Amino acid sequence: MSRPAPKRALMLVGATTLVAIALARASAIAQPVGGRLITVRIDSVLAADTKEGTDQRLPDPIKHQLAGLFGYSTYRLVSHQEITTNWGHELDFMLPGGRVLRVAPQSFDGHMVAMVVLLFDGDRPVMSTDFKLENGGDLLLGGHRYANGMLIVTIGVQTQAIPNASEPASAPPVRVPGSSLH
Amino acid sequence: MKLATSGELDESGLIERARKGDREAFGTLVERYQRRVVGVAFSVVHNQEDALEIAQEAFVKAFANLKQFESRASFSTWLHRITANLSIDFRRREGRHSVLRGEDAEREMEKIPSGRGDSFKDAERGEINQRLRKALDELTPEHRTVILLREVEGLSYDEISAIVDCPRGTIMSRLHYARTRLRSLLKDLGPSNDAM
Amino acid sequence: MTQCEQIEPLLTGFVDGELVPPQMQAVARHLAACPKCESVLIEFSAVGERLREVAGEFQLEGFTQSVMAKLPRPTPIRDRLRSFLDLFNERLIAGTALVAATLAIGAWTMILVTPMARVLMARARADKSAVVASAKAEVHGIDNATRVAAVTHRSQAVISRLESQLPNVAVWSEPDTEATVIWVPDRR
Repeated sequence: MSRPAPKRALMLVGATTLVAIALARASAIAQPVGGRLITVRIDSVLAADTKEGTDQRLPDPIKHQLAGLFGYSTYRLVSHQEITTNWGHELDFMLPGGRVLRVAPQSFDGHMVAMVVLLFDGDRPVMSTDFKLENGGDLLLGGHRYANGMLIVTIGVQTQAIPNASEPASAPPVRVPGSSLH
Repeated sequence: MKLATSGELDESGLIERARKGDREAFGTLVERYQRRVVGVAFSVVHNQEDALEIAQEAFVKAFANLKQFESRASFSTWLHRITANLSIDFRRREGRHSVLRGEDAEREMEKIPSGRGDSFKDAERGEINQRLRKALDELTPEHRTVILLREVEGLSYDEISAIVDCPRGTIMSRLHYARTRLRSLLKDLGPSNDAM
Repeated sequence: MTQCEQIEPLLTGFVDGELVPPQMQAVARHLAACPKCESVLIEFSAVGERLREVAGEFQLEGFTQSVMAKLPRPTPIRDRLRSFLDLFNERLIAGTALVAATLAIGAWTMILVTPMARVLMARARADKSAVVASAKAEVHGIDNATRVAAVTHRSQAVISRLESQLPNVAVWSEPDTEATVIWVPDRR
């Protein structure tokens, strides 16, 4: 028994609408992070018991995080490195003491940046991690003995939209000069 | 450390369907949790055959009591708690200290897989494993349970605490004792040939 | 008590990442300068590796089928419908009786209690303003320590995977600063 024609038409319109909504949503989720740049900041801090206080060159949030961490009396900025790039690049940072940190930003959900990070000691990766970091947030990496104390590495990310960008930027990574400080 | 929660929506759907009597949904849950449930049972009774039987009983009991499960709680913790309770009851009922003796011990040790072709290393590894099993058997059931739940099943202190109904502090001190005892044994056996 | 003796009972919690942040810090700092305690930690990790090796694999073929076979069989639809209807009848009778009793009690309550209720409500309204005033005074009196303790701990980072060849990698969050720390010591 066939349904009346208007009812069939209504069902067809309804189904088409639903499919269109689903496709639009799927395409929104699958869209790559176009129109945004990401800046990865790596600060290497020497933590020691030499009573020199906290280096004023460190950003305030980092100073706040380091204060009281492990109970050291000195936190001195040894190296500052910053790379701004578009997405899809693997960024290598040489750390004081010889380890290498590889950072690969993956995606941004509007609030947190997803990243993959590997730590190399020589040729071998000694640690690999996937995590999400708040835009503008930091993650601390510690444990490596360095000079007369320990090295604490802060991994920070900041992503911002490119004004009036309709397509993803294709700029190569930009490294901030003068990265090693002593 | 927080873990991704991508599977949680899927699991609560399965539990809801199983609660309404969907046996296929419950079968999926059995597939998902069987390894861990057997592991929890084994950590208490320390015998594979008994652990398999207890694990089956735990799933049957869980199916019968799904309506009592509160969906906001952790399904795995609830299931493991059922398993641990059945295992502890079994151990008390059987009156066994779960120490392998004679034929049982021989059968258990034959199950140790040999991972390499080097017969000398196999023999050496077999001897170390045999002595480690013996040391494990010499721990009290409470110490053996927590160290197996932590090291083999990878459960957190909170999960172990919920399963064996013991405070976290007690879990940590039992673990410390068990590790110290087993560490001494491994030191006596000499350095491992394996690269860490 | 030496520092090693103080730290040693915490090594188990450290290797499992289960200490509170100040303890994680204290142990991490001690390990950076104490090869003896660090070797204990490495040996604890070795115990875990050996146990996982010894545990082996369980024989799980046919496990699911065995469980499914032991589950109670589903009742045929005809029998389920019959028992549902029987239950419905029983409940309908019980429900009707309950409703009738409730209505009767409600009617008597209205007749007898309403005048008394009016008097009590009037008194309650007069007391309420006094209670609210004293509650506000208590809230303002809570000290900063209590307020801080009530804040839910959060972190800027959410770690979904961490793998390492080193046996004594640790992770913890610092609640005061929302910092997440990954501890990757030197290979020995």
